Amino acid sequence: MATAVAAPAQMDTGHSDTVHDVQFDYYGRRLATCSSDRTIKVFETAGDQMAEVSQLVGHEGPVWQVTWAHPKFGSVLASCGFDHKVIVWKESQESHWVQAYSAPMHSASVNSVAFAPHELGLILAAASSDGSISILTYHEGAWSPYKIADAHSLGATAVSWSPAAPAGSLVSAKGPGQPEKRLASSGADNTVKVWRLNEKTGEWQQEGPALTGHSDWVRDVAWAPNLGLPSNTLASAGQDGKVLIWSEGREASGTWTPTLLHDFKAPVWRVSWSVTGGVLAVSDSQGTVTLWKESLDGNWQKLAS
Amino acid sequence: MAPVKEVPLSAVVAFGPRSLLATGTVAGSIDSSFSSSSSLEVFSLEFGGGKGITRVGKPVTTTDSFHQIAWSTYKAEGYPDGILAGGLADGSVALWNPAKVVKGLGDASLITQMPKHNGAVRALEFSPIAVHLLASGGADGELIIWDISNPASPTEYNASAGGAAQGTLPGITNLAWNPKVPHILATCTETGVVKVWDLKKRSTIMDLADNQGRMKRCSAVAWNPAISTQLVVACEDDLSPLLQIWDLRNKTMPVRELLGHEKGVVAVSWCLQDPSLLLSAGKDGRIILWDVSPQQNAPAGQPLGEFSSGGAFGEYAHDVAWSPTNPGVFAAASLGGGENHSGAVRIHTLAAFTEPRLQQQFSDDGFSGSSASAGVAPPLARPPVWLKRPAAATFGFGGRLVSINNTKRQDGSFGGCSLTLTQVVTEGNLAERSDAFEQAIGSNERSALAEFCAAKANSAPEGEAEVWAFMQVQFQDDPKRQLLAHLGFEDVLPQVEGAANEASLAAAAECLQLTSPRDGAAGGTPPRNGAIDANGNSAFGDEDAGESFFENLPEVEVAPPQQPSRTTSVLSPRPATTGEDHGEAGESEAEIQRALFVSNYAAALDICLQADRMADALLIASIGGGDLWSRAQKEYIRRAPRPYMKIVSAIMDHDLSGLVKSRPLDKWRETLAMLAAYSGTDEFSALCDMLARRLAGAGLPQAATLTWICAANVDKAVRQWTSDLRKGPKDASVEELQNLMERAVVLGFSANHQEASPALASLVNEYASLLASQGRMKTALEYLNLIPGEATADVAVLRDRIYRSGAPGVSEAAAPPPFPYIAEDLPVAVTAPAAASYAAQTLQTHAPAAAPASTDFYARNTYTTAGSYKAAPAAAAYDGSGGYGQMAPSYSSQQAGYSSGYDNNSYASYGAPAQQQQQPAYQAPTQPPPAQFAPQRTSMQPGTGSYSAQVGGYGAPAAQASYNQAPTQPQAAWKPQAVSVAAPKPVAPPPQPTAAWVPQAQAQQPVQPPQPAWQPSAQTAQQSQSNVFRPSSASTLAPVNTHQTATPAFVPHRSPVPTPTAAYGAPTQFGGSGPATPPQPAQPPPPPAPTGPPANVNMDNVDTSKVPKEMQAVVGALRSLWQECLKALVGRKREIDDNSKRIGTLFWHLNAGDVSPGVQARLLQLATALSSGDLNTAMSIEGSLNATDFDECRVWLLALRRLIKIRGTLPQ
Repeated sequence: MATAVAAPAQMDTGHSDTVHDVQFDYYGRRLATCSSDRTIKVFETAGDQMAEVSQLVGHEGPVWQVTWAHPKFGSVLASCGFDHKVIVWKESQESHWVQAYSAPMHSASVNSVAFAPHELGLILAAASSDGSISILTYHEGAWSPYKIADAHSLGATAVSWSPAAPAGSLVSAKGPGQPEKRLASSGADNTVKVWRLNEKTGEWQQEGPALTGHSDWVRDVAWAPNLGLPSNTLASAGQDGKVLIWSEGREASGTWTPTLLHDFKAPVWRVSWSVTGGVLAVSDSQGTVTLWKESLDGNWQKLAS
Repeated sequence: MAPVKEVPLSAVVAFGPRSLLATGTVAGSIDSSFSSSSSLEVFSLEFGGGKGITRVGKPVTTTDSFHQIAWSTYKAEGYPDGILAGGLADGSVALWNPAKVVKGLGDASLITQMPKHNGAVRALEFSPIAVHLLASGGADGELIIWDISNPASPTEYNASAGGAAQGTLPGITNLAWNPKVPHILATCTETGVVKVWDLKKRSTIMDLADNQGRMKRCSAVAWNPAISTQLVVACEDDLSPLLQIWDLRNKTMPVRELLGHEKGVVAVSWCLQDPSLLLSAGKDGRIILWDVSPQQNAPAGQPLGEFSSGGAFGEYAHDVAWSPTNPGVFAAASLGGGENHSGAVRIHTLAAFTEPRLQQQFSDDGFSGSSASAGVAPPLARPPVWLKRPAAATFGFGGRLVSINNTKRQDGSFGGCSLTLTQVVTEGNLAERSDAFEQAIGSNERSALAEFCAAKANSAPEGEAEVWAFMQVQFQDDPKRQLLAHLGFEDVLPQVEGAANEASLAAAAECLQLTSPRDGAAGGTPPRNGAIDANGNSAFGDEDAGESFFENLPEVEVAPPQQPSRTTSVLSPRPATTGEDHGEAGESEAEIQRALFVSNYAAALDICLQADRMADALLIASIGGGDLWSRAQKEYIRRAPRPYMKIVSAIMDHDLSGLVKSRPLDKWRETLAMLAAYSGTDEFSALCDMLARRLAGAGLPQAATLTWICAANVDKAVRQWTSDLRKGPKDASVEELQNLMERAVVLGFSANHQEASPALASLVNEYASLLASQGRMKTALEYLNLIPGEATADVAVLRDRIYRSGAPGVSEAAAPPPFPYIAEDLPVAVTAPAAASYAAQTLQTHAPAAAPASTDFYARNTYTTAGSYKAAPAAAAYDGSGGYGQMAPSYSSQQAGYSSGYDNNSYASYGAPAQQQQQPAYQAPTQPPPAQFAPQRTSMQPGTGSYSAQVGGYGAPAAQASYNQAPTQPQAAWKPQAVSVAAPKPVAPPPQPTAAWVPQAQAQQPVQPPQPAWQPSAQTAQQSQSNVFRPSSASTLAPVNTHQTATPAFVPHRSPVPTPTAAYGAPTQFGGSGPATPPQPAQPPPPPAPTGPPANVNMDNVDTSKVPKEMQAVVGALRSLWQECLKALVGRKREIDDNSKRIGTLFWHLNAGDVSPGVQARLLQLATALSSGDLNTAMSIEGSLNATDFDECRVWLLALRRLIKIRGTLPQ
């Protein structure tokens, strides 16, 4: 299972302090980075070329994570940082970004932010060291916050939305029924939790017990795209060096079974699924990135790089 | 500052493994019940659970209260949870087995107790390196090292070699092992001196003391976990409540002093995970977090944050300790503040320093935090290191992976960060195969495709090879004949050429079915071989081969009467018939004769049948004709249960569907062959479909798909393949997907369908998605363009995503696809008033009726870019836009006056100006602009450019609103338009480049109803915004990649901006462009397939309202012929239906006006002949049509002939 990786292109970010995150936009064309230098930068790519096009200044502390909204909402970014803030940025004119929303959503560092699938609307989830997860919904000109208090008692580290199409439905765009409103979070309590919006009460509720398997902080959680897959899959990355793949029972929703992808022997900070879901990229604290693919027999294999 | 956990105890604490926490009743405290008993307890923190804290086991009674408690990770056998040690007020050091405590063994958990010190043991710590070494320091000034390798009998060393005289040493209040050097430790004393010990030398090597004498009583000491020469010491004197950081390399004065406590400092803990963080606890009840990072060289350290551990009571905080394993987690113990004013041990995180100061400590209301107006703490000034993600790699669309590479300089400071962009390819073979396939099919010529199929048929594994062979047939001339050959009937195929073969087969069927001897021309002879046409059609010249098609078909032939003996033996269903009783035979012969005398053929036939004289019966029936003939045939077939008789029967009745239903499925190939041989072109598909469905239902998917291939039923075949593919337990392999996709695409070509097959579209979409995921964007887009018909939602989404990915080659050739989503633009609440109104307006586009007519869209919308674009043409417009600015001047010198803003506009995707504008930055500044930009510019004219990019990014919704408010147009008229534009139409065809942009003629024809309404609206816009819109602008946008300079104007609505609403609907509705057609930019649109009548067309439902006047006579004449013949056909529903369908088809063509002039002329002659009752002329006209225009007429000619014949049997 070899993987040919074309000669990588490299470019300096120009950030003046540690960069913590980089995210592609929907088209895979633009990149946003965020840094301890309190700025966000937007890069334009063309083939293997990159050029910085914007710098977004507004955070008052390190910026931990960025997320792009679906283009149907315009050119929109959200970021979160140590300054307790979540900021929604909008490119009001080319390369000029303004804050569409900014608020101290939390009473501690906001560690992760993620836009919901566009089918759900313009919705944002954020995870904070204050232990809560907030869900920010834009509706008719106003942003309304919702908070899941005490989601992870020692702090929440990451959030990841479920794909809108329920697992098992082949085609997202015309999938029947209501889009899934679920998200997964990870925390310093060494757990992953899955939450679902109770449409009747409007409350987000934890679904099933916490997923335990890590022996230290869970640094990241990523819900796999479920294109054509019969069941839901999560990947979680731990300070304990482990990456676990969680599969939800097809019939038993909320029952997740972990498989150890690999023990990296060094803290793992980020797991990222390819857009079509087949490949998982794992970033460890050494800065090493490895790619993993599930073989036909269900084992996870490292792709040669 | 709600703590994470809390337990109401006045106790010292130690973190253990497995989220366990040990507490020991703190010395000098009395609990609320005034009990002075002391105990050791272990709690489980269980952070995944709630706020609760669970005691594990039961309390262990101790001889006295604790000054210190320590938990070693040393794991001797029997001590899986390490060793707990307590420094007790009674001067003893006690060891417990925590595993036993956890098990609930209580007091039995005590391992040993060593009453060695003369005075309270106030200092106690395990070595972090040699975890079996325990140091204890007493009020007696003694420092003792315990080796607990054997926990039951520890070995004891006195730290000082000589052993100082009793009572002369200052009491030790705390001690700390150096984290890096195992034989170094520090003690602090009640006299304010810090002593650094070298255990190898068994003596102190350094005394540290404040030269101002402020550190009268030291209470705590801790080493810097990272810098092994640094330590912190705390002063418990209320008069000098400070901490000092010393570096052993400079013992004259401390490195830094930490001032903040208001009363004496009693405990300190240096954070292991982030050595820049230090916690201290004071008698003032405060817990302070200090920034002690080396970079901060200020002599006075600043508190990062603080909180009061005792809540409102501000009680004495006597202990604080970072969790050694869980970053940011710490325990703080206070003597008050708990329930009933008791002491409390609380577990906090760093959030304790920034949480809102609330009265209530246990708030479960998630909103209380944000609603508390008082005491919202600012963020900490420095983040802990454990939040600083050092690495991240994330995937993007197209299999692109980007990762950050933070580097550090040698001194540990930040050394820059680069991005690495990688194309991940997991399917290496895919690229080659898709290229090869694309090349093979690229020409889209049938011969090439046939060759491709042939090659595949030769190379593919068996099952698949057959599929390819079947498909190859579809690409060849005369596919039906090829199919018959392929089905294994090559040897019996008639040696006829081309279409005549089909004609002959059809005619054969007809003869078997209808021709009766009465028809005259055959001279009363029963049809021989079914081959002799009443009109002597030459096509039957050599039909033997065709007849022998079904193995023994020739046997069916009715033998000439002059060979009775042979006839009998051949014809009799029971061979023994020949010798049957002659007595009875004689009787029947007489009766037959009698009946024949009076031409009672019916009676004669009955008797023959009774006598089992089949040959005679058939002969007599052939004379009787009509019903008798068919009765005799049926009776014969009934009595002859040979397998082929069913076939003959079906062909006779033209009941092929019956054949499909009744034939055994395992003989599907023969059935298929018969369908190919006997069915008309129009019914072949339907019959194949019927057969295929039977096969599929019976679990013969391979046969079903092959049949569907023959029926050119792309959708069904692909659906079957896809479902086969999905049956497996795992995802289909890429190889399988490629195989399937190749078959499906080729089949799609063979069918030459205009309309899309959903299954094919979905499959190609999946494949294109796979290609895209490997970074093969251009190829993926080309595949998507192979899908005929309107794009499905999925295809539209993928196409949009690929097109705007910026990948090389994807956005050059074709016009931008429409944005396949409904925009829900996020307004921005910025201070600029213009922006505010824009924001408001954008929202209103979702509520068309609410659009106010007060402001003009262009004026409003221009705010986004007007500042730069309106001010000056070209070069100035690019100020501040990065690399592009360097290039603009050269353009403006060549093409003065046009604005490149337009370029952005025509390219922009969401937020698009940014995207395009940056693109040139990749080029070296001296290079000419990218090719795709240049033609655009040459097509511009001065002035137009000032209609800048404003429509680009977010214009569409607003544009829509502006139509609503066009003053000259009643709003009501526009509402439906607005609604239709806003409605989700992701599958709407994108504007096809040629139709939408190039032909001016089309564009200038305001053929669409909305156009007039649009005009005034545009005029209004132009008037109020003259330098945005040029009144003289014609309504055509020069194509992006055409070097055409003739048309200097543009229609904003048709700009290829993928702005959501403008993308669909708009071009045709507002732009007045030609009809939108599906995008086929990479190839010419497939030739229009001949349209045909609906499958169910017949005399009753066919529309003849558009038949030209002169041809109405034909319709009338044939209708009356039909009515007359109906009487003769009573009870023969199948024949009626078939004829009705055929003549209906003729009417349909007449109605459609696609009957050729020559045929029309002869049809008119025919009508004249029919209405004058001249059937012979009619028949000869039919014959001439048959001879010259068979291809065009064959469907209905057969019925026409039948009807004329039937008419001939009827009275005038």
